[in-house]
Amino acid sequence: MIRHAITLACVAALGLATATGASARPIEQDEIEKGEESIKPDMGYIYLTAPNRFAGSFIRVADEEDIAKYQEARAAAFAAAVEEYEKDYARWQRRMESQTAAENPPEEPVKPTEESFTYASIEQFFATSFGPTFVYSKDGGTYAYLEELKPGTYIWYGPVFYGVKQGYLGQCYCMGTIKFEVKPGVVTNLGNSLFAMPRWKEDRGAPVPQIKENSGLNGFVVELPQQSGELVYDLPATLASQPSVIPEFFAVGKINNFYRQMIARIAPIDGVIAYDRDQVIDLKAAGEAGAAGE
Amino acid sequence: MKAKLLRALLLPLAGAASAQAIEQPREIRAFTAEEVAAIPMPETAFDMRRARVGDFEKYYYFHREGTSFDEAFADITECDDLASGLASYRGNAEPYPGYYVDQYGIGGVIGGVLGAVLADAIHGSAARREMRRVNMRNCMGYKGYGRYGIPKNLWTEFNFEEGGGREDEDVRQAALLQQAKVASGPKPATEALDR
Repeated sequence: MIRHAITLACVAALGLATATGASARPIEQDEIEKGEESIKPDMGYIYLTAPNRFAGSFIRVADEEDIAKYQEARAAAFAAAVEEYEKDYARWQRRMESQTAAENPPEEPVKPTEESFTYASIEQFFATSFGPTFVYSKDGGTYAYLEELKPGTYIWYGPVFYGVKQGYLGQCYCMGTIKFEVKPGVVTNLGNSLFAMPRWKEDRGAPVPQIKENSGLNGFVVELPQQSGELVYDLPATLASQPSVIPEFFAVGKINNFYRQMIARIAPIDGVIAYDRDQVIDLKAAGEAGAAGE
Repeated sequence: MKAKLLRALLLPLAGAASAQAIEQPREIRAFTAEEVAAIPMPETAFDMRRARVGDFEKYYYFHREGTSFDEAFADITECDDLASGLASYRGNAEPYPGYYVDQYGIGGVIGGVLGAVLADAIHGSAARREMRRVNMRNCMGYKGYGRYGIPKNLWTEFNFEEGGGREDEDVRQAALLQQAKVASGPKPATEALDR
């Protein structure tokens, strides 16, 4: 059953690249300087800095409209899978009619059903990745990224991202992470908080094999900076005059490893997230967390 | 086979009155004493003086004191699902608690496949095997299990490696049951390795 479902998931995944509900669009500094890009009142923006080239994924928490859109896309993919099956079945029937006893009979196609058809998960549908290329700026020895996306609540899914011709690679924070709100018309300034806030030394995971993205001449090794320390939210001059906000963070429980990559979790963060073994502890009152998260 | 839901408890943490565990119930199997007894206990004893300690980065097993077989099996299968890219958290998954239950019932997605399986051909078999090792180490480590090195010849008796493809389900299941038996069994005689 699982093998069969994997086959169908392959089919569904093929269509996913063009059918996601949350695509972040990178913006570079010179595009702002030349007036080719601007901070639009109806869009959200995530700005973050890293000590090296970086990449990762955010998941937007979908609203009812989003979920309806997902279900519509899934239904369309299912209909396409059924249509494909019918063609395959007709082909199979023709082959069977001309089959001789000496030949091995061709394998009969399996009809997809609602139960067996596995489309990309809803989390995957609303996930979007950024980096390691399309850097906003490289001023002051840090790499900055600015992503334009639909406003909403975003979950930091970790340093797992899409590499061209490589598929997904990296490490998800599937076993505990954080979320924050991205408001329209405002730059949501994460600064270096994704690396500097967590108390990494208390929660080291297994050594991580090198993560290398293969674009460019020699590709880019994506480091996983775990540098607990001073929070820096400086904005470059091109963004300093724009409205910006440093978001409040909230704990998020475990998430499926829908990219089938390495799994880990964000380290504990004072006042936000802690762990009791693998149990995620929300350090803010449930009512407060719900206000931003739902 | 009976099933029960393992529910998380609210944790009153000192100094953080509003702290609350995020509930993520998973359906777990409840084994009878006879069923557990029927699972062969793998051999884990060996002569450390003759062991290739460098191999322990690849070959190890998990153990946690005071853990029942049911708990250990639930933990190992949760980590195995996560490592495999399966829908592990169906009933109360972030970021859409209730979505899978609403859509598919408590059983979740049939087959439960979520992962980008096309990536198998891209990442290659060795990289996949390495990923699985990282994933099981992290997941079981977070759960408080100790990691203990073991020679390859003993390891292969109750473990499997997965590169490009998925091992047969009956082989996987038999191995996971044995791993749970070791994880909940007698305390290992050797020192625990780094997480």
